[in-house]
Amino acid sequence: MTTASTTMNSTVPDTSGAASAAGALSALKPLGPLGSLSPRVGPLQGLRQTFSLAWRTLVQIKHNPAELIDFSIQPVMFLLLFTYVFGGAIGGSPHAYLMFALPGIIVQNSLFTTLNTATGLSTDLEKGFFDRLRSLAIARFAPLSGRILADIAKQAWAVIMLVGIGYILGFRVGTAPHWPLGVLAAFGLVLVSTLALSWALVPLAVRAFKRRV
Amino acid sequence: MTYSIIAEGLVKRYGDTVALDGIDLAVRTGSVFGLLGPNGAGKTTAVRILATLVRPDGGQATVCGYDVVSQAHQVRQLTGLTGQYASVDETLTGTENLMLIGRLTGQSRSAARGRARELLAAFRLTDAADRAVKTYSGGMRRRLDLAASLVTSPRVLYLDEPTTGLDPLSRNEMWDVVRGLTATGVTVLLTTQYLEEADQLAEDIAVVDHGTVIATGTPDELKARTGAQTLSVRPANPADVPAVVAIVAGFSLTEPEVRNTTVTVPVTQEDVLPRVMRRFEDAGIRVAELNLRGSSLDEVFLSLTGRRTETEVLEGSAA
Repeated sequence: MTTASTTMNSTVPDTSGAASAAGALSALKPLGPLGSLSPRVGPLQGLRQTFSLAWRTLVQIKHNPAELIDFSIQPVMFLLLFTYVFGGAIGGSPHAYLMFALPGIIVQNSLFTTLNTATGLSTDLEKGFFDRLRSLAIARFAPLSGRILADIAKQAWAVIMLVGIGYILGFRVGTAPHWPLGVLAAFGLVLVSTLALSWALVPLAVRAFKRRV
Repeated sequence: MTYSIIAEGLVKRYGDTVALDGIDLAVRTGSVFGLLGPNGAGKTTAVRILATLVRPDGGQATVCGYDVVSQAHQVRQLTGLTGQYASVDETLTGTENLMLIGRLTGQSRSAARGRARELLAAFRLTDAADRAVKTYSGGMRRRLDLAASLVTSPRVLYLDEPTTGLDPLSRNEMWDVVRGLTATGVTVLLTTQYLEEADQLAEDIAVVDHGTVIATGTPDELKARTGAQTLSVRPANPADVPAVVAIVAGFSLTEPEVRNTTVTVPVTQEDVLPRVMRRFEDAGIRVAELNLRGSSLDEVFLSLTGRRTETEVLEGSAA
C-alpha cells in the first residue's frame, strides 16, 4: 500500500498531542477552498471500499466471538452428529455415511451463510448504519459487495475446516488421479453458488426493511 | 452573501402521503440554519434529499453549487450527515468506526488513525476509544455519531434532531459542540422539534408543517411574531375566568386559551408580569397561580397556524 493519498486529507494539522479539550474543536476545520471534486468513484476505489467494508464485517467477529460458533462450531457439530449418532443407522456405518454427509453439510452451511448476509444487511438498514454509508462518497455497490465478500471469506474458512476435520475422521476424495483439481473445482462451485444466492437474498433483505417515512 | 444550500420547490411523496409539498430553503454559508417543526412535518425527508439519500419527486436543490441529483457524488464529498438515530456500528469500537469511514473515503491507514484519535479527543471519547459502541451511553453514541460525520471534514453538516431522546445534560453538551463547529466555518442545517434548541443554536429558522415552510426568520423575528413567552393565569375563583381573559387579551395579539380554569396566552413584552399583576389588583381578582415561561413549539404553532400540532391534538382527545 502506498502512502501517497494525502491530497484530500491533508487538512489534519500537524499538532499531534496538542488536542486538549478546549482547543480540540479547531481540529474539525473543514477543507479550505473548494478543491476539484471527482465526479464519480473509480472502479479501483470501489474495490478498495469493498475490502474496507469486508474488514468491518470480519472484525465484528473479534468483538462478538459468539458469531464464530455460528459458522465454525455449528457445522462441525452437525458433521459429528450426523456421522456418529445417525450415520450408523442411515448409512450402515459411520464411515460410509461420512462420505455422503460431508459434502451435504458443506452445502447446508453455505445456505446458512447466505442467510447471515441477508440478516446482517437488514440490521444495517434498521440501525441507520446503511444511511451513513450511503451518505459517504463511496461506490454505491460497496456496502453490498463488502458484506458479501466477508461472508464468502467466512464460507471459505468453514469449507476448509470441514474438509480438514472430515479428512481426520476418514473422509477420502474418490476421484483418484486428478483429485486436487476436482476438489478445487468443487470448492469453487460452492463459493460461486453462495455468492449467487447471497445476491438473490439482498433484495429480500431490503424489502423486509420498512422505511420510516 | 453566499448560500451553501439552496432548495427550490422540493416535493416528495410516499404513496398517497405527501412528505414535502414544495419546500424552499436558502442556507447562508457558515451559518446554522434551523428547520423547526413537529413530528412528520417533513424535516427528515428534506435532510435526506439534501444528503442525496432520497431523490425528490419535484423541485431542485444544490449544495455548494452541486445538484443533489445529477452531481450526487460531489455533494457527498462536501456533506456530513448525523441522523436521528446514532448510525454507527455497535459491535465495533469508537476508533474502528471512525477509521472505517476514513479508510472508505480514501485516507491512508495512518491518516485515518490520526484523524480518529483527534476526533475522539475533541468529543471527549478518548477513554472509550477501544470499547465497543454498544457499551456507550446515549450521549456518547451521539457524540461518536457526530464525530463520524466529521471524519471527512465536510463543509456542510446535516444534524437531524441531534438531541432527541437525550437527557438535559447531554443535550447541553451537544449544543456546545454545535456552537464550537460553527466557529470553524462549517455550515449546519439542523432539524429540531424544540423551539428552545432552534433559539439557542440557529441564526435563521424555517418553521415547517405538512411539508411546507409556514414561517421564516431569525429567532428574534419569530419570537416577536409569535410571542416569546407564554403567560398562564389561574384565578382563585373560577367565576373570574372571563375577566382574566379580558385582561390578558390586552397584552397579546393572539386570542387567550382557556383550559379548565387556566388561561394561557403568548406575550411579547418583557415587563408583562408587573403590569398584568397591577391590572388584576385593580380589578380585585385573586390569582391562585401565575407564571411566565418560554413558549413551546406547540404554542408557536398555535399562534402561526391557529391550531395545535397533531400530536398535541391526539393527546388532548385521548385525555
